[in-house]
Amino acid sequence: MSHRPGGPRPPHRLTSLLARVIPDGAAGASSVLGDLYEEYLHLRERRGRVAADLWYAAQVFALGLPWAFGAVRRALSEILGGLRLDLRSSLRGLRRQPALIAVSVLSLSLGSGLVTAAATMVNGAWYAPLPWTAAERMVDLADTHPTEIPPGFTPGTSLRAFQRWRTDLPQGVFERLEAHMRAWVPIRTGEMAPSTVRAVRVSGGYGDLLELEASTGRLVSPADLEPGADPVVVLSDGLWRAAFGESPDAIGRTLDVDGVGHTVIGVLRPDARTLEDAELLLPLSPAGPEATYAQRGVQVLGVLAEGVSVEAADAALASLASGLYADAEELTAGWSASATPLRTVLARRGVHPMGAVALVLLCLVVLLVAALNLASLLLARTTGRAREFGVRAALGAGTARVARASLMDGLILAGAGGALGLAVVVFARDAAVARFAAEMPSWASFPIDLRVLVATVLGTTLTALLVGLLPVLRAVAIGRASGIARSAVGQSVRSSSRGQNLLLGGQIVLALALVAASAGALRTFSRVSDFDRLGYRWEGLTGVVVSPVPGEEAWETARAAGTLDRTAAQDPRVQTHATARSLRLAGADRAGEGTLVRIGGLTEALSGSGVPSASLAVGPGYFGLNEIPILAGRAITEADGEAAPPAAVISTDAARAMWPDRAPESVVGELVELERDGRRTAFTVVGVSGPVILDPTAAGDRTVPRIYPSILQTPDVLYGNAASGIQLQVSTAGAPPTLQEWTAWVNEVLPGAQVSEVFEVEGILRQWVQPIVVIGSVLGVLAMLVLALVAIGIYGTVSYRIASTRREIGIRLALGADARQVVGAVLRPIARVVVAAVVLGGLFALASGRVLAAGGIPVGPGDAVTLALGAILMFGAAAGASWGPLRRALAIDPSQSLREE
Amino acid sequence: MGELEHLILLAIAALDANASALGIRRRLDAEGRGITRGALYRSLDRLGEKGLIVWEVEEPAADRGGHVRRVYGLSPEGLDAIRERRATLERLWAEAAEVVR
Repeated sequence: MSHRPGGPRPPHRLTSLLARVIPDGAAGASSVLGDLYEEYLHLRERRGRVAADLWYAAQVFALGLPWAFGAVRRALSEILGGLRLDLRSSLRGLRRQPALIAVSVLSLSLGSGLVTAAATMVNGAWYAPLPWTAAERMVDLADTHPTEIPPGFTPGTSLRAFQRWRTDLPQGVFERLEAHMRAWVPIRTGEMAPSTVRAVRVSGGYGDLLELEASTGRLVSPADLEPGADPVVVLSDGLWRAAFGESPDAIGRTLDVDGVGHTVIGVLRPDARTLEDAELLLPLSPAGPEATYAQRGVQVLGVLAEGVSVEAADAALASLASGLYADAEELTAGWSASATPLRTVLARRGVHPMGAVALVLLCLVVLLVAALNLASLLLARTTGRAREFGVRAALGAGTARVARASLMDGLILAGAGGALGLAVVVFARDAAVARFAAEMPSWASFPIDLRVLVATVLGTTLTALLVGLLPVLRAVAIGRASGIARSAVGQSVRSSSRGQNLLLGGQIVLALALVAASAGALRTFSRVSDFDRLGYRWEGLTGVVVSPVPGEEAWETARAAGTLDRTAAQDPRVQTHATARSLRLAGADRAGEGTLVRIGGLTEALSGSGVPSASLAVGPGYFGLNEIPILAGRAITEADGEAAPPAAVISTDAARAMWPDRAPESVVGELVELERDGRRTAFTVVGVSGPVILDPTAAGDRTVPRIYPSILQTPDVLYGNAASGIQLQVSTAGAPPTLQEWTAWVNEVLPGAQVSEVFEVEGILRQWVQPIVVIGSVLGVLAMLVLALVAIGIYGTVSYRIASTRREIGIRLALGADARQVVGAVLRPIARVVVAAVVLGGLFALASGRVLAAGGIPVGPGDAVTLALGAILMFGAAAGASWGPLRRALAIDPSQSLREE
Repeated sequence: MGELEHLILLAIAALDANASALGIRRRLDAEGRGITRGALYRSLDRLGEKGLIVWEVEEPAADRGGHVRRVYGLSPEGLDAIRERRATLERLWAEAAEVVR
């Protein structure tokens, strides 16, 4: 009964707060509140309302807090007690099914381990801290241009620009700037065969910035960069061991680097972390007076001054560089420079974002298949516990209690699987890092830190929830039906079969998609690795790119290019030789971006798809050296010199693009005009060559339509302002020439011209297809794992199905059914599921193949053969998994089965 | 049974039919054994759990803000407990009388 007084009252909120926490004991909530009210009234009469309210509040907290803590403690201990009970009951049940535990934990640990490993890799490549003290303030400084830099390409900057930045950038923006330049250099010592090693030319403070230390001797110092200083070299620990047999006397000895004797001044410690993992450190000589801003390839590393943001440094650099480059004759308009955090630059270099996403997704698919597998096994177990859940529900356990009891199995198994997966990764990490140390940059670390742990725990928890959900729903349904009644149990067995069909189907769909994707990737891998289809020679070809000397009209590039390879031919090792130079073509709609193309006699320049995408001015011998077939007419020869009428060869696909209505071979004799800056040259088509594929990974073997004018007849103006380099290629008998030899040949014709690092066509192609090789291998391994998991899943489902229909099989046998009929009856529903899943999986595989291909992951389209193969594998797994359980079921004694009934 | 619980049982007995929580507290205060409100209520809960006290609930009253009052009394077990405690004390006093005198 409630009696509402009309007089003064203490603060209502405080009263109701206290009423909530007073336990149901001898003190009694209403009585306690009444006592407080009485005293509150007295106090209020004597001291006023404010004092009384304050007193009341103090009493509520003094009384309420201990009671509230007590209530929380009691609730917690009740929940923990319940959990302990569920845990014990789950463990007791699971102990009776060691095979279930082993299969579940192992398959989940596989999935969880893969997710952890993928997360560790991505974390290491993108987020893990760099090993240097000032790493957080390190930035990479490089030239930028809105259109002239191909995507994904880092141009670095020029030595000349680096020196200007050092002197002209405002004080207080950067603490320091250091530079380095990658190079492959040939070396010779008495103790090892001549070889080409990765070297880096460094500024004086580079070693200090990257905290490099010499185990013996010293590092490159600013004095070594002075003009006239003796050539010196610092060796990596590995090279010191290989070239000098760990001799402590190596310091002071001479190493032949690129044909010049260099004094060894130091050896790096084995744990040195350079950015380029170089075998040699050489001094980076200052830029000479002839150096230009266009001669890039220098990587500049800056350390921001304390308190300066990357944005502020970027703005200062851009302002300086834009001003410098605007006045430079050798550069087109629009060049500037920017500063990017070093971590971002290295992350871009490490793992391609799409590759990382694909890797994590694939690992999640494996985890998902493992989870579905486990869910299927648990569903069978839940149905087996129908009586227990029914009893619990009948004894008054709420839905939540029954659900919790059922979820516990999933949590235990997922937790154990996750922990095992994590443990394997933790223990295997060092071995993996050691195994792949040579392929990984020395600055990279792969810590299993908070980010990785969160990813693993999140993955495993979600898995546990997913795993537990279907069995939990089943348990709740059983609980609701108060499944002591046999009919309810029977019904739940039937619904459980439906759930298992769903899970089995889901697994097969995922497995088929993965098998199709990996088969596609393997097919793509074998296709891209077949370089013979590219339409040109790829073995035994090496070359260099000669940088033009800009602004020097007298250089007469055409003539020089024509004679360049003849000097190379003087070397007895050189068998064939040729020069080539890229011309950038553009349609009439993008006139400013390249050279225009016109069919002779027409006034309009070509545009859109009619423009061949590339042009390569070539010297005599180019087609022979590269083994590009001439299908009609002839190749470019010595005769196509300055005095002769301009001649060009055209590839069949370019001929088709320009003269769509004619047979490619019939265009010999036609005229092709090239135009730039108002200057036109008309070339007669003297031959038609076979098409070439430049990108071995391109979908559908896309060829690159080309026009090949004679290099001797192509005026400089056609190349545009940013004149492209001349490729000089040779094939040799025996060892390829050193950079020193290349430079000597080039400088004989073009004194002062710069020569790039030596390239090998085969090496470039192999590097190009490397990501596909990696993706193919990863997909292949994952597909095998998933197939094994799905086979286990099918085995579990079929075993359970047969076990739950033992009685039915026995009765059928007792009633005279023959074994074939029984087998048919048992296998028909399973076969229906497998067939439906295979059809769905096929469709899913086709769709996902398209999505991945659209995202730039070349897994190849899932075709009929692959899908058929996947389907056969699935049917095989189902048949193999059914064999054992079915044989056991057929051995049932019908009379015993009837007695049980 | 602790010292405080013993005193509360004695106060309930002394107050006879008027042993409300407030009354118990005031009685102990008068004896110089001040006790916080929280300690009193927790002790009453404990004595209730041990079955040493019983209580009656009065009708809700306006002067108590519409809340009830519980009036406590000793259960037979409660009576036994304080008697036993008294006997213990008397025995000890008898033995200690010579020294304490």
